Amino acid sequence: MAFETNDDAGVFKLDENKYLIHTVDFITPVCDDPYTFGRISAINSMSDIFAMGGDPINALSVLMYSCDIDESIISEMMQGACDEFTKVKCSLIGGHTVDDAEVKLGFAVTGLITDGRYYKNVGVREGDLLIYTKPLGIGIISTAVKGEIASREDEVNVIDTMITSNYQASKIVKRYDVSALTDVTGFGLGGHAFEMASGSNKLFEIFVDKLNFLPNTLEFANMGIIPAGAYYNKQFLAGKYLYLNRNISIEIAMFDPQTSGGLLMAVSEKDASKLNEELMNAGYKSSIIGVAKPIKDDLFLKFI
Amino acid sequence: MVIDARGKPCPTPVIMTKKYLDSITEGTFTVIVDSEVSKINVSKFLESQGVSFEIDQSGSEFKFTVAKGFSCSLPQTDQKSESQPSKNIVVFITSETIGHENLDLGKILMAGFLKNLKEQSPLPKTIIFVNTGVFITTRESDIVSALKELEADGVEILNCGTCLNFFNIDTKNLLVGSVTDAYTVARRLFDADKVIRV
Repeated sequence: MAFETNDDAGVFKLDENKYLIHTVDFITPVCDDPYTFGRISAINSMSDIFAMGGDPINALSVLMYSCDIDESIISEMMQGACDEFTKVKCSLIGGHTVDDAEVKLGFAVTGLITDGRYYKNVGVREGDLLIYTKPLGIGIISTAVKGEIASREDEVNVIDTMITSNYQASKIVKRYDVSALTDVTGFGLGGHAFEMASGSNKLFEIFVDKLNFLPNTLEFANMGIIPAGAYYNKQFLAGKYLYLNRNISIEIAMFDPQTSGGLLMAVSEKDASKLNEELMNAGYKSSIIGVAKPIKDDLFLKFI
Repeated sequence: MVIDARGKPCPTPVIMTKKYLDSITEGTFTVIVDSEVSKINVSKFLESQGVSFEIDQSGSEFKFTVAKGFSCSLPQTDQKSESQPSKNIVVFITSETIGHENLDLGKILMAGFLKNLKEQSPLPKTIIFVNTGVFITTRESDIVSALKELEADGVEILNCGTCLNFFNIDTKNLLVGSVTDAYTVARRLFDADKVIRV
């Protein structure tokens, strides 16, 4: 597939109904426990496959670590990842390791689509409603955890959010009239919503009051516990969006980078509440967060 | 005490500042950072802790002088408050336009006036919107952004509830400030050193 729009993964057509999807992602540790980190890394790497509507079939590891690290840590990490791949019937079939001072773990994942239907992150129709499936604030709370000023509860909350796989959500989505789908990661909700809106030539109005946040996100943001990436994301879109919500101190959280973030989708108005309800019943902290409108004055993104 | 957080990634400068601030009951100290992001984050943190501070920039480095406690206030801050006792100025906006002969021009003039308020010193303490003035705070425009900046700088922005009702505008559509009643409006006007009626 071509590069005009910024899709989540590469798509390779096999025949009318079959497509291969390829993606690679790796991350630095986001928690102390190596087993949990392995799980999060696997879930995060498969997320792009889910965002295209595919099933992961096999994966290769991309691992970087310093040789003086205890080997049991590496095997725990890989066990965590393996357990997640097994859950969705994906085989870990090999990988590559490089010597590096800081641990990094990720996967090149291959996915398969057999029903001829893959989702792009463009193609939103006027009047579609937007749904997002996870609470925001993963980057901010993780930063607070790294700085050792978050509570144990904050840490549990953010880890729970990151190990929530988008697998079930991607299955549920297929039963509804969804026009575009993507996963929210490094560019934050604002960045990924902007890509979807501008690629679809629509104005997205995001209802800030309807967004879910991890507890204490706003408190830490006000204390300046904000990852540098959030500022770069916001700076990148400076002048290209309007923020009109009265709660101005939460604006930066719109651009907070999300490791293993949720799915952002556009769905027809008539299907929206049913889809959202089914996602919530499946355990997702999902909500209807906005609407797609015709563009006005070259503006693609507005927070209200 | 100098906390040198140069070259440290986010959020380390904030954590270093927090650890030292928590360890003292009062006193002054210096924090040095060398990135714009760290400057914003450390400023946000110090503001959230309610301590006074100043920032000196030299090149790409920012030097914070921080004072914690009652006895150690920054000398520069003192001078400012002595030379300029803050006056209680209230801006009373009674219409969507400045002048009524030509409404299109009137709107442009009003936008110009409101957008330039943030350049004034001292800032008004309160801005009150009544009658068709509430159209300004319920319609999206760059004036709203300017008013939000003022609000963030501590300017109180009040909107007349009766007027919103009269024009059938739901308070949900209010983009800046809060809804107020006649008593509060009267109180603000009586307490003011100066009222600017537009």
